[in-house]
This record gives sequence, structure tokens and C-alpha cells, in this order.
Amino acid sequence: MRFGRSVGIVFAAALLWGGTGSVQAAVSEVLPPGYRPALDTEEGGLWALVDRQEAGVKASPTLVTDEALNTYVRKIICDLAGEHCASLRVYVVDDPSSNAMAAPNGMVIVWTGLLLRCQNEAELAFVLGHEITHYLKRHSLLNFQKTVHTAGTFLPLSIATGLGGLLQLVGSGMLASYSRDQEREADAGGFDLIVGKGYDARQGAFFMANTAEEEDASPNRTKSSAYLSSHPEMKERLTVLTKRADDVETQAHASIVGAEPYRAAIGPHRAAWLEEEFNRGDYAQSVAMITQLLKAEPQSGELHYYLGEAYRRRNANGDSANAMAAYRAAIAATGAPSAAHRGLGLVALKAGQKNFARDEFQKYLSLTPMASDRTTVEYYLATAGGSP
Amino acid sequence: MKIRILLLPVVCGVLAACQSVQGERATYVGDGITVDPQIEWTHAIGPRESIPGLGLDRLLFLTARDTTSVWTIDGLGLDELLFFTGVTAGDPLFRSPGVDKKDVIAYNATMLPDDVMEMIAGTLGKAGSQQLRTSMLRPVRFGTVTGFRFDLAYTTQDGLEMKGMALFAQRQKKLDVILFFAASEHYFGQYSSTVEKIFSSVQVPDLPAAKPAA
Amino acid sequence: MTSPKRIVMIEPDVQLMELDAGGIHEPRADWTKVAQTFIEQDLRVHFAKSGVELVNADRPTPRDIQLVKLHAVVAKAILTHVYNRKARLRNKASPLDWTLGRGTNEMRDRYGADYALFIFVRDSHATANRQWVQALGNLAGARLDIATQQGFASLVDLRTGNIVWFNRLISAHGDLRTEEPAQRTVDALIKDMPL
Repeated sequence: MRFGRSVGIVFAAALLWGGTGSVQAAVSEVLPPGYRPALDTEEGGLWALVDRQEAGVKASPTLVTDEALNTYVRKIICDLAGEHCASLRVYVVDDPSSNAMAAPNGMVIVWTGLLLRCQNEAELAFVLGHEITHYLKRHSLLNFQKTVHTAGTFLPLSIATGLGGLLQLVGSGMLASYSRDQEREADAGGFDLIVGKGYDARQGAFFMANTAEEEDASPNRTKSSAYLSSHPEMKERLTVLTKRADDVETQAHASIVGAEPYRAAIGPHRAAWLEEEFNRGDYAQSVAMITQLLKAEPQSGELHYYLGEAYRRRNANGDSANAMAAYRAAIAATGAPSAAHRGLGLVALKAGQKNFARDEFQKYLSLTPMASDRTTVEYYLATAGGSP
Repeated sequence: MKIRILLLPVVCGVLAACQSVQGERATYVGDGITVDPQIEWTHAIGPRESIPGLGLDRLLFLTARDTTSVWTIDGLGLDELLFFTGVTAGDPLFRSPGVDKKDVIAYNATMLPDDVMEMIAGTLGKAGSQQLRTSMLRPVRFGTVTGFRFDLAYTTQDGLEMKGMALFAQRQKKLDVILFFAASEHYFGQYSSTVEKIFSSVQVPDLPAAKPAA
Repeated sequence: MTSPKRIVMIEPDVQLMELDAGGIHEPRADWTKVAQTFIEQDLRVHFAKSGVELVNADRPTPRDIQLVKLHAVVAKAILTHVYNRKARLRNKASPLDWTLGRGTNEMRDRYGADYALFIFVRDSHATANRQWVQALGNLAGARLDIATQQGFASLVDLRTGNIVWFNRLISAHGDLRTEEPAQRTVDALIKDMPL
């Protein structure tokens, strides 16, 4: 998967579906399980580069060590990879980018931004199956060979490797920059893998549609040539994928969606990931993405609260009212943090609704008397003409 | 003595010179603000350059303005004190390479303190800081006006954990920000009390745009 | 310096590359592996002669990792600001003016070591075609990226965290791919190291 240093749903850019053939055979024939290239080959060179980055990922403070989450993600990957499971090492990384990658040496990285956006196990399996297919078909090696032999690529090597080093490899085109044909292959292979495991393949289409919609939400998004998500192709691709998935459905095929186990696995982490989402600084996309999540969970106070936060930060025309509606919905639903009152207070204060702001700040403080920002809220109360 | 604040971006590169800032009183940092540096910082100027074979840390591109300064004791990436003064509506704090002009987070004078904190955090996020967390937003003195403090923590692209302190104030529809970052291991603890004193030493004129006598 | 008993060697950061005619540095895993072996071997021989025990830093804790990353940034600051007069920092005239802080005491206890040794090498060798390009370029007055060897070695006192010795290596001729030239490179790297 191509991914950039900063914002944007690059996953959508890289995923292309254009296949028209019948369902392909299993993809495990290309890469033998347990394979390791000789050091003096180009492939060996690529693996050694990636091995170094893997050491950096292991040493990175952004590595998520939560046992339950890792076990859950690992199990899905292992099931999909079959006999190749033993060759894969899975890392979950705390970063709001929506991304996943299977490197040539068997390192698989899943970004928490992706886990936040998937709504069920079938969606995650679709993305992972796509990545595993890139790995099985050794697509990175082909690109690496091409890149190394094309003038103008200097490989900067950091002293301290981490995800930064990995990003440099990707940014230079040496890793995870796949051609359209390769993306088609990965789509086809990924589709087969998940269907083979009984997942509902339509969920993949929903995920792709959501990704495209989120990307489009940012009106100023600069589209570079790496952003291949032009709409006619995406439309065609979604149509093809949906049709193929529907065909499979009509064959009375068991179809796992896995919303419950998925929510159980990521539930404890979602608030933290939603906070981190704002570090991307693209609030329009955050609004779109959280709105999508709410469609499946309209009673989630947590999601309504974070939608309020996204509107408040975006602060476009009408967002003041949008934010207030979202915070109110949060308070009316279950599981909203007390900060929903604080958010309402902030929006109300800026809108000049001082009495209402005062009430909400006071509610916040009474619910959270030990709030670490207490003195700031007291400042707001003073500004709104009240006292704590 | 009037200290000239030179154009940026940052870091003593191979071709640029480093200017030292004396440990005197009343060092001018822009927009009428003076601080007492407490100790002897080096005023870093010149483009950030990479030495072949060594990596770059956070990429920082500063909008060329005579009201932006970066000071260091041990070198950028270890400890850095940044001043962004007189930021006006429509302008970002700074803009990093790879961040389009349309994508920057701009200041506007109707911002509440929470909005300013979020602007600073968002800007640092776009600059490549990972796992950025802010906490403890609280009102403090900024010279004769009310300003706000908050704490920061983040991880660099190379995985080094960093801690920070922020001080800001909004005066006459402009924003003044002072940021301190240092490696969590040793360096932050080494200088945090000094930076606290620098924050407390902020003086602002009662009249707009008054500068100290040369 | 009192005579120490043990040094913990942080895994040397070594990378060898091939510079081809197009100006691309292609990483060579086979050369790198050979170079790593020579470096560690030569260091062990050196320390055996001076009666110092060299242990590997294995099973690093998260804090160890942060200290190693911190050292990388310190080394970059030293290379940036000490070896270039125009980029001097106030009160920082020598590598010995830098420290990792007393957080290194944990490593000292765990490894029973007095010092930590850090090694960093980047080594680039030109292909035959590249050498032609360079020769032609020199004739034409062009400034081309040439194959070089650069790196550093540093010694940290684990009691204080201070850098107690630092040596920069820059050479146009070093070669870590074969035994004798590799020995010369290691000798240059640890020249004047007080252990």
C-alpha cells in the first residue's frame, strides 16, 4: 500500500479493481513457505533493508503491545495466510493513517487508523487478504528492481530506524508502490482468500466506498499522480466487486460479517484512536469518517461526542449548529464522556450563548470535578459572566 | 542591546552561521515581547540540512518572518526553544515541507484557548510528530495579560520520545506562542525549570508594538 | 580513566552500498554482512589485547532503546556542530560536552559494564561503470556524488551517561569487504580510543 507521511486516505489510492476474469485459483504457489533469498541477490538486498526497518518497528514507541488486540488481528491474518502463517510477523502500530502493509520479508504492519475505520471483521479481512496477496506474489520485489535500476533514487538511511525509515523506503518507491495490474491481482487474490474463509465479500465493497467518500470530503485535497482513486474507476471497481460478491452469496455460501467480535476487540481502544484521528488535522475527513461509523452504531454516545469534536474543530459554515446537535445526541445516547458538556460549552461560548455555555461548563465540572483542565473551564465560566 | 531576529528556517547547517544569545535580561523576540534567557542559548539560523548518511528528525519549515526564533543548547532534536510571535489571522504557526498551503491550520482571532492548543497540536502533527498528546491546559500570566500553558508529549519519526511545554497568548488579534521541546530522556528534565523561568520572565508592552530601546 | 573490566557493545549500525553509474546507492546485504562480521571480530581482538571484556547488548529494554535513539541524535549534533566551525554551539566545543544523562545507570547495572560502545558506518563503493563516469565527470569539472566511507565510534561512561570519547571517520578509500582493508578501517575508527 502506498502511504504518505501525512494525511489522506492513501489506501483508497492504491486499491484498484479492474479484473474481469473468473475467480482465480489459490495464490500460494508463487512464494514457497519458509523461503529466504540469498544475500547476494537483489531480493536478498531488499529483505535485508526491510529486516532493518522491522528491527526499528519492534523498537518503536508507537508499537501497540496490547495482547488481546494483537491476538485478534494475528488470528485473522494467520487464517487467511494458511501455510504461510509461520512466515508472517504482525505488528499493530499506533498511527491514525488508514493503512496496512505486508513487506517482502513477512513483516505485516496494521495501522490503528485502519482498525478504527473497519466496521467488522470481514472488512478487515478484505484489506489484509489484499495485502497478503501482494506479499505472496512478491510484488514489492518487482517494483524494487525497477526502482533501483531507474536513475534518481537515493536511499537515505537513518541512524535510528523506526517507522520513519519505513516511510522513507515507501516514499522513494522502493517498497509498497504497486502498479495497477498488481493492485488488480491483489484484489482478486484477496477476494478469493476471504471468500475461501467464509467472509461476506460485500463488506470489502462497503469499506472501499467509505474510504472513497472520506477522501472526497476534503475539498482541497491535492491529487497527485499517486492518487489513483479517480471516480470512474472506483465506481466500476465497486460495481464489479459487489457483483462478484453477490454471485457468491447466491451460491448459499456461509457469509461471516463479524461485527460483534470486531467491536469487542477494538472497543477499548476506539476513544484513544478517535483522539489521535484529530492529529491528522483534516477535520472534514474526520467528520465524514465518524458519520459513517455512526450509521452502524447510531446509539453510540462516544461516536456522537467525537463527531461533535470534529465539527467544532472544522468550524466551517454551519458547524456550530452541527457540533451542538452532535454533542446533544451524545448526551442523549449512552456512553458519552462528560466532555460532551464541555464541547457544548465551547461552541455556545463562541456563538455568544453565554448562559447556555455557563450551564454546560458547570455540568462538566460537576461531573468531572478532578478535570485536569479545571482552571481553564473556570476561566471560560468567568468569560461567560458566571462563577464556578 | 537590540538582538536582531533573523530570517529562518532553522539549524546551523554547513553553510550557515550560528549566533549566540547572551544570558542577558530583556531579549527581544518579536511582537513587543521580551524574555530573560536565563542561560546561554545558541540562536540557530540557516536551512536545515542533512549530513550524508545521517537521517533527518522532524522536518520543520518556518514561514520567513522576523518574529520567529529558534534557540538551542545541545542541538535541535535534543532541546529547542521556539518563538512564534505576532501570528496574524489567516497565517499558520509554520508550514512543513509536504504540507500544501491549502492544508495548513490557520489562526483566527475568535479562537478560544482550546482552539489555539488544537491548532498548535494539529500543526505539529502535520509536521510529522507521532502520538502527539496535549494535557493540562491552564491560564497563566503572560506579562501583564492572561496567557495559557499546556504540556505536550510526542514521538519523533525515528522513535525518540519527546516532551514539551507551550505558552501562548492572544493580544490585539495576534497570537504569540513559545514552545519548548526536548528529549524525554534526560534533556527535558535538565532544562524544564529554566524554561519555566523564561516563561515567567515574559514582558509585554502596555502599548501595542512598543519595542525596547536599542 | 581507571582500567575497566567490561564494555557493552551496542549493535553496530553498518550499511554498505554500491554506487552505480546512474548515481544510485544500492544497498548490498552481502557486503554488509561481511563488514559486520569483520568489525565485530576486529573489535574483539582489540579489546582482548587490552584485557577488556566486550559483551553484546542483547534483549534491550524499551529504555535501552530510547537511550540508543538518544545517542543517535547526540551523535548527529556532534557531527553537525563540532566538526564545522561555522555551526558551533555556545559552550559545546567538543564531543565530550554531550551526555545521555544518568538513565544509563540501568544498563550499567544490567550488563555490569562501565562503558557502552557505539559504532556507525556507511560505506559506498563505485561500480566500474561509475568509476568511468566519475573520471569523465572530473575531466568535465562536474561535482558528482563519490563513493565514500563515513562513520563514527563513541564511548559512553555508563555511570554518568557522558560521551568520554568520540571519533569521526571520513575516508575515500576504506573497504570493509575484505579482511586487511577492514582491519585498517576498524583501526581508523577506534584510533586513540582510551581502552
